[in-house]
Amino acid sequence: MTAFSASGVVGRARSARGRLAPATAPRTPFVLLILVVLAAGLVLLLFVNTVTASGSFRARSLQLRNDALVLKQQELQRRIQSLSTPEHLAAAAAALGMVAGGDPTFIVIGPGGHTKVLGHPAPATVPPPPPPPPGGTNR
Amino acid sequence: MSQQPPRSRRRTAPSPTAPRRPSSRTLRLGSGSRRLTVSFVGVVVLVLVLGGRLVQLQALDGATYASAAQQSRLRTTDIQATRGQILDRNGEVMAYSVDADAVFADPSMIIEPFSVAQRVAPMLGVPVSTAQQAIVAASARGSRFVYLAHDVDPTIAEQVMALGIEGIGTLPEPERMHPDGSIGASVVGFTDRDGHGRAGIEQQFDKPLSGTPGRLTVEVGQGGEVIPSGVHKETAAVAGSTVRLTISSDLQYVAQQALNQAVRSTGARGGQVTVMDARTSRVLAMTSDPTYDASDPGASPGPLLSNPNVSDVFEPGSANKIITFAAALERHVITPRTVLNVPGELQVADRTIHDDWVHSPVRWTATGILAKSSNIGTLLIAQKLGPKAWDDYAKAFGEGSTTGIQLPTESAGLLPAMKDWSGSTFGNLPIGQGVAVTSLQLANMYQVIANDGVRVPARIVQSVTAPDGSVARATAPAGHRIVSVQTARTLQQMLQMVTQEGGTAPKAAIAGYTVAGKTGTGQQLNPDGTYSNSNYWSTFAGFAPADNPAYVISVMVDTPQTDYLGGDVAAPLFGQIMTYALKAGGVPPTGARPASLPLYP
Repeated sequence: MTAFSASGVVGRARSARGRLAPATAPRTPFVLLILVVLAAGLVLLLFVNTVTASGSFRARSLQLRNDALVLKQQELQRRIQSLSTPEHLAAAAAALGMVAGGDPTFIVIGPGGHTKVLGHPAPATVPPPPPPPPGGTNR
Repeated sequence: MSQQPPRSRRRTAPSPTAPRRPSSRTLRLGSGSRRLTVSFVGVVVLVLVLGGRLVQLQALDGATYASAAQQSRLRTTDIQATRGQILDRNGEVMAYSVDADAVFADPSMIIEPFSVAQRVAPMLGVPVSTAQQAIVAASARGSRFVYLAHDVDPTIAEQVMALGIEGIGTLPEPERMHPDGSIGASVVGFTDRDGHGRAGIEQQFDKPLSGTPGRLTVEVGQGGEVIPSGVHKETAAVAGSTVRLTISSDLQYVAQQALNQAVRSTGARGGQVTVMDARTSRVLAMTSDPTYDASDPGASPGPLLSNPNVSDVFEPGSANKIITFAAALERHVITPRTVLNVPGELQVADRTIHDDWVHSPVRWTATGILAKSSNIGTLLIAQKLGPKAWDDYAKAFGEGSTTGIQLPTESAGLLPAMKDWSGSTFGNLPIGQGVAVTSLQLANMYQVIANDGVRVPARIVQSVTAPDGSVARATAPAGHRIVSVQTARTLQQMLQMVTQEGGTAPKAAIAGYTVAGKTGTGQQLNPDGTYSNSNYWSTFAGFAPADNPAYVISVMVDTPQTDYLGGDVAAPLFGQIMTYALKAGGVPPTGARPASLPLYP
């Protein structure tokens, strides 16, 4: 290397050292600051990740609960619907020994409390056992 | 730079002369500055190119790339709209939807169909061999998709997915439930796997029932997890509307049971019953036998998957005489007491008409002709009336045109146009031959007389309720007066004589009530076009109470074997269903005296 260029470099280095020298003391706080910033960043990142994860955990558990409740509601609805069909009601009534009535008869209660019977009341007769339902299913 | 000193030394070595050194130094310095310049220019060009590219990417095409990047993070899913319910008049649910999944397989991703089937099939309630065969067969076809099970409970579907088997997937496929099974199936109809209506109300009201599916767009990370602060765009699904019918599922059940029993006890091919409100023409029950199970339409043969009460026609036979009598009364051709000489047979063009039973010439009143259902007597009245008038009234009663009921595939029936009539046609039509009607049309014809002469077209939908709760009531169709109140009331009296002793249908009578109606025994056609003497449509149509009608019922039994007369097969069925309708509807006897019109002079 030439003397010209070398002296230039040395000169610059010397002058730089001269300027930096007073700042040598506060270097530790700066490093600490950087470390703190890094640590804070890490903690924040961890926090954000945790929040995200816990949010999805919560969403997941709520989803599962919702699914279970929907299924339960559907199952109950299904039962109500099948139990309230005319077919099932007729079978349940027959199981209790009930039979369909005969000719329609009405009792008309007048304003004075006196009653009038319309139609021809007669005891119901037990019909022959009903045929099985026409291929209907209760699902 | 580090190579410079040696190179300069090498260069200077051959020249011992000192004065060259400065020049050489100047040159080096000069070339150094030129290199700097060249480097500078190079760097500037590089910066310009990079900067330009940066500007191009960030500023000019930036939006495109940004959106492409976001698109790759966005996930859009359809939110299925819940299909609306179908209710009966009392709000009983006749059809509703529940969440369910379909499980499918992609055979190209399955190496061992048997082991996959062994793990999956038991959870789906499918035999292992069936599932295995389905996968193998689809694989052989080169197909990449085959259903393994439908209507799978969502929890089970989730468990299947949790197994993590390659080539097994699930699709949301809401299941349509018909709690009543076959009760009212032909009216309600059914849906296909895609959830679209394919018959009945499900088909007719598919659009309002379907609703509008929604969309959910979210931003997801690499692993597919939703980014909480990212894009979240949701267009909510709009659920389908609820359709409320005029059907009463209780009456529907009773009618269907009674019809089924009658069809089986008479060895008939089948039958149809239609019940409607006498004043509003709202259909309360519409049933046919045999029918199908709406929960499992695939189990029934295709031809059964219809609603024959609106799509199939039959010859009404003598039940059609109501048109001849209404027109003759309205045109003052007859009164209930008009006496006619009825011969044992009657020649009309090339045909000789007989009554159902052999008799010598006899004198009957018009009421007698109706109550005994004399073909010859009816034709004598029709001839007094004239073909033009008869045709006008047949059309006015709705023959040959649809009612406009809210059901698909409605038939208009068959009423030959007057220009196509042959000489003997007017010997057929007035007694119900050569004309065909649906069960619904027949009921609507008798509704005219029941409603004191005003025809109201039949309807089966009461209202449609949108998901926001707004109710759109079906508009009541306008009624048209066909015959005068006087004519209708007279015919109500005359039709009562049919169900009394001496008439053709005492079996339709209900103790304590006045019942009006008319039997029919329509001969079916042989394959060669002649009328059959063994296959009949046994019909009865009527209403009760006769003096203040509440319900109209038409009954048709197809090819009964034990008996064939309308009065023996269809009339008792009418009485049975009407009895229940009156009881359930809380219609007390009117207390009116039964009609008493002479059948003989």
